[in-house]
Amino acid sequence: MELPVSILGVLLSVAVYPGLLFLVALGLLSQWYRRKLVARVQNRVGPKYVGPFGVLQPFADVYKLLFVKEVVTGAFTPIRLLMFLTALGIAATSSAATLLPMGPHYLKAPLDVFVFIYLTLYASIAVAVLGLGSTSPYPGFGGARYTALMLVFEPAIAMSLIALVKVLAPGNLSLAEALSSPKLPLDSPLRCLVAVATVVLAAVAYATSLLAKAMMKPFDIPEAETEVAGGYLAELSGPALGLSILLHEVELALYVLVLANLVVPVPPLKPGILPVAVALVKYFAVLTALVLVAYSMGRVRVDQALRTLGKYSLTLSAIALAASFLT
Amino acid sequence: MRVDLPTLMLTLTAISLLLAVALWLPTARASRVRRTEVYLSGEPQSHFKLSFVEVAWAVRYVMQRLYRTLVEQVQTGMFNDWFAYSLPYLLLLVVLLYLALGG
Repeated sequence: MELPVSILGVLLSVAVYPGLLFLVALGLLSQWYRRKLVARVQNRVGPKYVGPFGVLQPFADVYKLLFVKEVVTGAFTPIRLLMFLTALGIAATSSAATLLPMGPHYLKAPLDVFVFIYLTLYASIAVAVLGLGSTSPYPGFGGARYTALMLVFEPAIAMSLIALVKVLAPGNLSLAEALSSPKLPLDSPLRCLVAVATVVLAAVAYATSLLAKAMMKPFDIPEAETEVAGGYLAELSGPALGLSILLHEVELALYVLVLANLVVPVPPLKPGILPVAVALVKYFAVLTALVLVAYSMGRVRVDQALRTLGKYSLTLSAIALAASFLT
Repeated sequence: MRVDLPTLMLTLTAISLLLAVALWLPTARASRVRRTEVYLSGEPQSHFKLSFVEVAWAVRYVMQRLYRTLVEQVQTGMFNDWFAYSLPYLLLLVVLLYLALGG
C-alpha cells in the first residue's frame, strides 16, 4: 500500500507543487516582476491593465495564446512535433523540481545533481529544436545561435552546480541534501575560506551561464527581434507560442530558485510555509540582481558572447569545480 | 523520500513523458493549423528551397562559429591561452574519472 501512495505523492509533486503549477505561477509572476523592473529602469510604466499593478498580465497573455483556436505557421514547420518537444521540456523541468526539498514528497538520491542536470537539459534541447526544426531561415538562425551558445553554457552550468553541491553536500553530491541540510566546513578557517571562494566563483559562473540560457541581455542574440525576426519564435503562434513562453519562464524560475538557495544556504530549504517564504525572498533578491545586471548591458554578437561565456562561465566554473574538491 | 539513482532517473523520465503528453494533447487537439508562406522578409516562397543542404548548413554554421572562436582563442601561439581553454574540459574528465572510480 505504501508504494502507490508514494507514487501518487511524486505525481502530485511533479504536476502541482513544487512542480508544474507552482513553477508556472512563480515563472509568470517573475515575468511580471522582471518587466516592471526593466520598465522602471527604462522610465516606462510596464504591465498595467490586468489585475492590480498589472500583475496578471503574463497570466492573461499565456491563457489567451494557449486557447487560440488556430495556429498560423510556416508551410514546412512540423508544428505538432515542436509543441510536443516544448511540452516535454516543461514537463522535464517540472520533474526536476521534485528534487527541491520544498514539498512533503521530495525525492533525493546520492548523485542526484546529475539527474537534475539531465532533466533540465530537455528544456535547452527543446529551445534549440524549436529554432532548427522550424525549417524556416529566421528561426534557423536563432536555433543555430542558441546551439552555439548552448555548447558553452551547458557544461559551465553543470560544473558550477556540481561545485556548489560538492561544497554544501560533500559526501554524496545530492542537490536535495545540499539545499535541505547544507554542511558548511566551519571546522577550519582555511577550508571555510576555500568554500566561500568556491561558492562565489561558482555563483558568478552559474549566473553568467543562466543569462545565456534564459536569453537575457547581453546574450539575447538567439531571439534578437531586429536581426533575426524573433529568432526561434518567428514561426510560432497561438498554443505553440504560449507553450514556448511557459517553457522559458518555468526554466528560469527553477534555475534562479536553485541558485538563490545554494548561494545563500542559510536558512535551509525545507517543507513548510516559513522556509518556503524565506526561499522566495532569496529568489526575488537574486532575480532583481540578475535583471539589473542584465539590462544594464547591451546585446553582444555571437562570437563576443562565446568569448565572454568561455572566459567568465566555463573557466570560472572549472576553477570552482577544482576548488570544491579541496574543501 | 530516499531512492537510488537509476530509479530516480527512470521514474522522473517516465513521469516527464506522461506529463508532456498530458500537456500536449489538449493544446494540440484544440487548435487547427493554418499554413502560410515561409517568412522571408517579403521575398516569395519560390526562392526558398528545403533540402538536406539547408539543415547541413545550419549545423555547419554552428561548427564554424565554434571553430573560429577556438582558433582565435587557442591558436595564439601562447601556451597559457591553450591551457586556459582546455582546463574546463580536462577538469570535467578528472571529475568523471573520480566518480567512475567510486568517488
